[in-house]
Amino acid sequence: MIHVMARSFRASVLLLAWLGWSCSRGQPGGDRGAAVEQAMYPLHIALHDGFQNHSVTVLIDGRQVYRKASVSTDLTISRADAFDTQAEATPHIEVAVEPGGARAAIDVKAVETPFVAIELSRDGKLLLRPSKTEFLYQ
Amino acid sequence: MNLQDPTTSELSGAYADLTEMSVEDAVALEVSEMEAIIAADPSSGRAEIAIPAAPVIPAPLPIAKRAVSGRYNGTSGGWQVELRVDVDRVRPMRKLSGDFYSVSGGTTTYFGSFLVKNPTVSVTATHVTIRGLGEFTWGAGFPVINVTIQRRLISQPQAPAALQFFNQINSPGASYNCGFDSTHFRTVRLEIDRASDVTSPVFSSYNTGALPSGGPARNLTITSAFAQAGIQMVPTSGADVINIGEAGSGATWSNAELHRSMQRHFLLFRNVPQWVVWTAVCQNHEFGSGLLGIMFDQLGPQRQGCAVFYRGLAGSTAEALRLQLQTTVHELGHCFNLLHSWQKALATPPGVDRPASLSWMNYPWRYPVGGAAGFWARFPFQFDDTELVHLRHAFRNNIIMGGNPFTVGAGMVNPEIMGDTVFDESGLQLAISGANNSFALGEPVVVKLTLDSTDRRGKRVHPYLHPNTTLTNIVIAKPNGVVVAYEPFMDHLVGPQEQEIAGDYKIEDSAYIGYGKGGLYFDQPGNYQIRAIYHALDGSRVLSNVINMRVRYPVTAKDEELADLLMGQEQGALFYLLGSDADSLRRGNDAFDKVLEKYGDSPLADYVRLVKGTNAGRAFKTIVEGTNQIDLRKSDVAEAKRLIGALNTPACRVDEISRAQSMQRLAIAQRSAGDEKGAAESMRLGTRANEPVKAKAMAK
Repeated sequence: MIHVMARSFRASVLLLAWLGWSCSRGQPGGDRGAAVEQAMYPLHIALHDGFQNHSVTVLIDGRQVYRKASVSTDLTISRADAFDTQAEATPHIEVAVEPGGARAAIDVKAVETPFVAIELSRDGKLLLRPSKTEFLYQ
Repeated sequence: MNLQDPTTSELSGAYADLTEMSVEDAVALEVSEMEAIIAADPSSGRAEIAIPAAPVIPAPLPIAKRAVSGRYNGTSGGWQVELRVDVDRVRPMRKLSGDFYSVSGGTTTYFGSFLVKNPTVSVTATHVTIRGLGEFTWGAGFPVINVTIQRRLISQPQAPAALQFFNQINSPGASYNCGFDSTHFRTVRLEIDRASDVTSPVFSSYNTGALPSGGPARNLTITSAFAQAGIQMVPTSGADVINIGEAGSGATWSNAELHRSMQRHFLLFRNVPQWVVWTAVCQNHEFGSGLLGIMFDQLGPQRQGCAVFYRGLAGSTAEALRLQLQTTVHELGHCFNLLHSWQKALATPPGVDRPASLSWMNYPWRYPVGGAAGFWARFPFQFDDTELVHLRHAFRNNIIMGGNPFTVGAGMVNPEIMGDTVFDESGLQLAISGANNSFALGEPVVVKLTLDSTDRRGKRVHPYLHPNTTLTNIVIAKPNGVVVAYEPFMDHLVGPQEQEIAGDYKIEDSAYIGYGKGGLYFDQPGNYQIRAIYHALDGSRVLSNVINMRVRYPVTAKDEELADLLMGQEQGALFYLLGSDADSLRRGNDAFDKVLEKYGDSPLADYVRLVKGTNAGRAFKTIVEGTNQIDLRKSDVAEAKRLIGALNTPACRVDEISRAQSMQRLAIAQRSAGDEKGAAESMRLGTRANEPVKAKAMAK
């Protein structure tokens, strides 16, 4: 019983911590009441190396959260674009890139790894990398 | 001295087979018991000269001699050379490189660069000789380079370097006596400005022994970090505080805002290739706290400035200072056209990716052996060897700030469109502009050229700005990096003519450069760079600005068909000639007719109207084949008026000068046909707002 309560408490703390993180960064959907109600977590998705005038579509749990044409990597910082969104605890992320028809999907734990990098390799494969820490660029 | 090739002497061509052995060759044939090959020791980073021990004579006490590596300067004829010798001192790369500048009249212009990648290095007691086959940015007639430097005691001044070019059969070409200039291979002036909202201390120095690392402990500043690579960074006195208001209401910087602030605060900024670089110390970038630094200058002449962001860097702990140092050197490395370690293959031409490189240019957190902790534990705080070769020996426009665009730079053979004038006393200024920044595939590319005087007393000039006369040249860098000189379809001889320009009196002209002896010059979609060179009366070569033009990919089927109809050798010739009845160009005329018939509403059809209208307005003589008779087709003034008159709309794609000239030609045709009223009206429409200025200048 104590074990269950501790786990529940830990989860609550984590949830509130992430909600605070979300609000402090002014992310979309940062309304605390709504987030609690829907149990949503912040997710930062960044497009990194390999893009050159590509059209990129990102779906989370079947919902399109990002679609942009002419996405290109800025080689000085290895970053093409980034966006913040909200997702459930273990969202299913799908990415599609054209031209080339690359597709990839991944399940992430939004609480543990709220940062996800998308990279298009030189042989046209999509790589999705969850991260615990914020991405750094220079 | 040959005016086209600084490796060639005046005599070398005529006496190629009759040359005497050079002094350098004689030295090379002497007994070389002391000869040694200088080898780089990767563990120590220092060269060691392997001198065989003399078997009988006891070795004398070693007397310290000066190292020879560094930068030398020489002059001969109309050429200046900067020579870089890299065979000893710190981390020798066993390279020889240099840049040539031509001096003509009051102008000094970058000409080209050379590099000897694998020289043989011979050391005697008295001399160091470095010799090898060079790679050049031009077709050098004498590509073998030999440099001889006297070895001097440490108490003596540095000796000069004798630079001698040879051809492949060892006949000597040009030679230069180059005085020692610096132990550094390059010198760059660095200006660091700070945004007003950065309240934490700005980086000063870091002791690399403060935390575990892969190199010896030493205090490093930005300038000493580069000095260890052989690059002298000279801080300017122009340190400035940037009002954070320049970053907009959000106090976060965008790249465009950084660029604007660079133009405003960078005291040495000229937006041309020069050895100066700007660093802004800022607080926030719009990309967020994860962005530690960026080389933001990617518009026009690139790589002139970078910025670092203290939202993610601030602090005075050893870790913070280490990251501040690494980030600042890293961003400045981008300004020298260095790519990230794992992206070297994206250079043009490509290099080799080195994701495990322990270099300033890697991301510590991307290091494949243990991530950031593994990187820092091994990082010796230096550039890797390949980067060092680039920093010291890259062809000048591949590294100089404001030179070739970022990533374009490892190319070794490339005529130098960016050969800017580094010293200009010509008193003239040449400007080039395009009627549009982007063109549809097949659309005629027309540039406007303007020459004016920067000398308030005025300048005497010749008026020939059109490249047809070859007194003004146009160079075009194609999307694949190949640089070509525009060659007019027909050579035009012109008589001597001079006039004076001053103040508002300037000369201008427009030129179609889409077709010439080199065929179609803009036949591929992509980005082009164009520059003009005006050859002045006093011998000065006045360089214009460089313009960027984009030829767009055809998107629709209509675009594609229009491109097919407008592109082709015959169509190019018709654009160049402003129309023709010649039977050899019949298919081109047929294609133009189809453009008017099928796509008459397209803006591109205006060019066809210009060509066909101009041709209709003039009489055309054709020699009847097999006879001496001439067939005369009379001027069709009504058709000319119909076609050229249609250009008189604001939406017309044809440039203003070409339209005005076509109206003036129409006026002449109308006058010849007795239509004085129509001629007057056409002349009125063909008179541009600034026409009197040009007319007055031309009238002189």
